[in-house]
Amino acid sequence: MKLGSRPSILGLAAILGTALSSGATGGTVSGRVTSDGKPVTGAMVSAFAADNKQHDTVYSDADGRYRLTVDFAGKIKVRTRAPYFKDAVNELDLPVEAVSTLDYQLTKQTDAAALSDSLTASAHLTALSWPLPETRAAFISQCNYCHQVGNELTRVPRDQDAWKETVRRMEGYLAILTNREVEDITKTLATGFDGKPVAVAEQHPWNSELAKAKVKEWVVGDGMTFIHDADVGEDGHLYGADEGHDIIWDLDPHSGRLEEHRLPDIDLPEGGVFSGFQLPIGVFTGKHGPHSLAQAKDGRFYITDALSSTLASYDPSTKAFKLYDVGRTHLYPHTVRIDGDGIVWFTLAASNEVARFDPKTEKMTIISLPHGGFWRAVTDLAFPYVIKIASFFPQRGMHLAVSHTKWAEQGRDAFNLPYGIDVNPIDGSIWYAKLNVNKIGRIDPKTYAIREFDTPQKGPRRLRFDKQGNLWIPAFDDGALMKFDTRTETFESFKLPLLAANEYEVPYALNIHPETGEVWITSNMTDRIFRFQPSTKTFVSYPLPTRVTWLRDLVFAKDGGVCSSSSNLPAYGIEGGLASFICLYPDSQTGTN
Amino acid sequence: MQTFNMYVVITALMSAVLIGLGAPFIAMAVLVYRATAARLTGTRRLALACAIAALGVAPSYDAYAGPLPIYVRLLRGEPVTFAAAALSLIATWIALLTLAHLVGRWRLARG
Repeated sequence: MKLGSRPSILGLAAILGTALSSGATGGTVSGRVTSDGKPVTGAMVSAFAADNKQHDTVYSDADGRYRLTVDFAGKIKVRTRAPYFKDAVNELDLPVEAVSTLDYQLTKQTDAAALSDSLTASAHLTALSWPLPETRAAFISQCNYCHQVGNELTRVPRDQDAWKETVRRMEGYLAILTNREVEDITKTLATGFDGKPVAVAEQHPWNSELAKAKVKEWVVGDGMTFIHDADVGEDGHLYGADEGHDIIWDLDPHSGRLEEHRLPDIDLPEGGVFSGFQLPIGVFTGKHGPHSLAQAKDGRFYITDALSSTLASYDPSTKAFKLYDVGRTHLYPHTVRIDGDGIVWFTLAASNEVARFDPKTEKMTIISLPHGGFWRAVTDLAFPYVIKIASFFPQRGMHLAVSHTKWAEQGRDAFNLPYGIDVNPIDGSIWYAKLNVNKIGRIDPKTYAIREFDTPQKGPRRLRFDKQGNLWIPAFDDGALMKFDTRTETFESFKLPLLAANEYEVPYALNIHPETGEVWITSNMTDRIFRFQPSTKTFVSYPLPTRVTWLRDLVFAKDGGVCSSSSNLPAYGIEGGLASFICLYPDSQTGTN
Repeated sequence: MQTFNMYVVITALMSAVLIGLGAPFIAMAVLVYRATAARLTGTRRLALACAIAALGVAPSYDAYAGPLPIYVRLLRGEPVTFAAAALSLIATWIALLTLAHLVGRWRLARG
């Protein structure tokens, strides 16, 4: 390693060792990454601020060269990471506007255990031998629902009884499995996660687009923080709904200033209307569980409060919240979008409904979605009352005792689970995805007439429209991207690129860039983000620098960032132990970032 | 106490399922009750019929406190603890006997 520094006269800020004010640059680190004299392409060179609150990353180019300009200064840590190589880490003083040279000669990782540890969660899952395809499908759907399995936290060897205890806890959080599935899954995990290193040959294709990109991460909260969704405000700030702590986070990405705004208290116990569930539900220690947010034209955010069955509005200018009751039998307000007329639409995931809220009249309209069969109708009709009765026995998970998903062995198929929602820009119709039953549906915004369509790939999750009226849908369970042409009512599917043939992906969300029309999609089992070019039907894979990166809604910032929240559950399972806001700037080397 | 109350509520909520799944045994209990009218005394007939019904209805609770009839669990190959099953059978038998007596008295009172 060669280290050289040319400090500028503005070294004072370096002493502070913190993020600089808006628009300022810190310093620049540049150099070349090689191994045995050959360039290492696509190596991730990350700079960590002295307080570890911000991480910036670039990728080395075809010649192994990189240039990383950061907007923090002082004592920073620089880490270079590439697959199958040992991490190389340095600390250096980086004065403001200084340019430091850091060349890296990476050495191959030869230690089997360390090599195994460096692999993605998806690689460790190849150690699992499934008795039936249906069991694997249930595992992918329900056990990867909120987090990776196979990462350092979740692949700890346990016997079957210990796995059963863990799975039972997850079921208390609303994972839906039959007893047979629990038996088979826990047996498979107990056998497969034996602590021995896995040897998987993952392929990391290099794409020249990586050399233009930069990733910024801003650490938020504590190990129990759960920023379910992030949105970019008109002011350029990143807003995050912390479902774990009933907080709205407000990050100015240019200054690095982070504020927290707590939702108003409500007359509900911890866990809200779900207080009878296993608590805390994951890391949800609050009463509201703010989940998803969208900004209206007047600047107010509308936030779905999953646990309290309320819709909140939040005015960033006054920091004021206002709560709107959805009704406590209308369960789990989920994804929220706002149509062209300013009407707020959101799914009610646990009661198979969609809500329409008119901010002008403050009228809330609940639209019941088709049941789709006897057992699903039983769920829709009984579940609100079951959880009400269960709340008389706090934190006992009583709902599981009477659930037909268990005694009638219906499993997740008995829950419709309306999930993502979006507005067709062509005709204003409302479209939703039903995650567990593999359907999408259309609601006429005037008559509320509903039509549903079966999806060719399983696990339609958070869908989005492009400007032409095509509906793009991530298929969580099948690791695919679907395109639905709303005019011809036809689907087209694209499998996501894998790092190894027997791995899988669980794409959670996507968004379509308003200018380029490219589809950005989360991967979530391999710490990557995908960029899909519809015209060529090709993917670019951006590896992300932090292990255990689990992204939610993707949003576009005015400065070119493709942003999200890194919110694996729990946050302490993420490398570094904390959640973050994350933005990927695909053209940072030519832009301002 | 809260655990006991919870089990009572769960059992009450699931009673329709327990009775539905126990229907073949209940039907057999009725048949036996009628068929033994000439051979057994009233109390013994009732005790026998309730015992047969209890075999079909007596709940076995799983790790989630979910009740299903013992015989259903056995047919599904799910683990059933002998002591818990015996206790459940006896308790169900007593409960059914009590219920049958109460119904009998109510019928008598109505003439």
